[in-house]
Amino acid sequence: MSAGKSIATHFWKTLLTRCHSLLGVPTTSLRNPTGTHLCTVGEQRVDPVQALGIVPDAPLAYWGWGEIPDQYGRRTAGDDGETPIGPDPELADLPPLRPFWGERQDRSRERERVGLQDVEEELLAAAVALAPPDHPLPDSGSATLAFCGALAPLADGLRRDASPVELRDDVAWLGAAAATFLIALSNPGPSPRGLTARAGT
Amino acid sequence: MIVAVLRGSRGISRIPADEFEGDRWFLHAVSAIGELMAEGSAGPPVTDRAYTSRVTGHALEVLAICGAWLMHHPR
Repeated sequence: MSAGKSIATHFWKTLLTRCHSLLGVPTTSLRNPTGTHLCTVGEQRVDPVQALGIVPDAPLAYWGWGEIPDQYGRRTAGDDGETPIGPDPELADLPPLRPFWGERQDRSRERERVGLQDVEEELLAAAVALAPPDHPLPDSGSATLAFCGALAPLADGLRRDASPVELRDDVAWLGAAAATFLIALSNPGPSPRGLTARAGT
Repeated sequence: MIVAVLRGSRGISRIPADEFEGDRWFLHAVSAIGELMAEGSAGPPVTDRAYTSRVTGHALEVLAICGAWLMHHPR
């Protein structure tokens, strides 16, 4: 792995971890930010005492796989713990109830997936360029400066009616500045209470 | 993280394609940044959870808008 790639990986792992503490949600929910779980009503009535051991006062999942509710960590319906898991279906195995769900009708999903990867790479490269070289995390001052520095060339490009190709780097820069701000937010430094306590010592 | 933002409830699925014609998308981004800066200058310390959540929302909005713009203008 190259040094640049290593730094980039560290940068995003830091962002993900910090967002975890910042937003108060598990990182698995960041992968599924809508928090959506597909449930199906069974074809036959079950005995809740036998299936769950309790009688719930509201509909309750009693079998499944994925992040929840499976306590055995099964990744698919047929996961027996020994058979190798197949390739990630990337939501194609779900009914088309939400954006990005359902069987792919054409190559547009594939193009979209590649497009997302490209966009992620662009934003990643810009964010790494913005990351302070001597500190593991940016502070709020440097993050604010990144926003200010990103706005001016973009506004100028729009004023000149520049083409998307010309604007591309500046847009990535602005998006990366937002990511940098998220990191800075997670690194607030000492609280007023902490400063007061320190001043009293 | 980027993919999560683009695909999530703040992502491209809720941003109409015509928002990326002209400079309207930029005005949205600037508006979010303005809200963020206003919170930063007038808000309580970032240790306040509700404040941090609001500012985080503005920053995620900017990130989603820029990511969606890049998606709508492939190389």
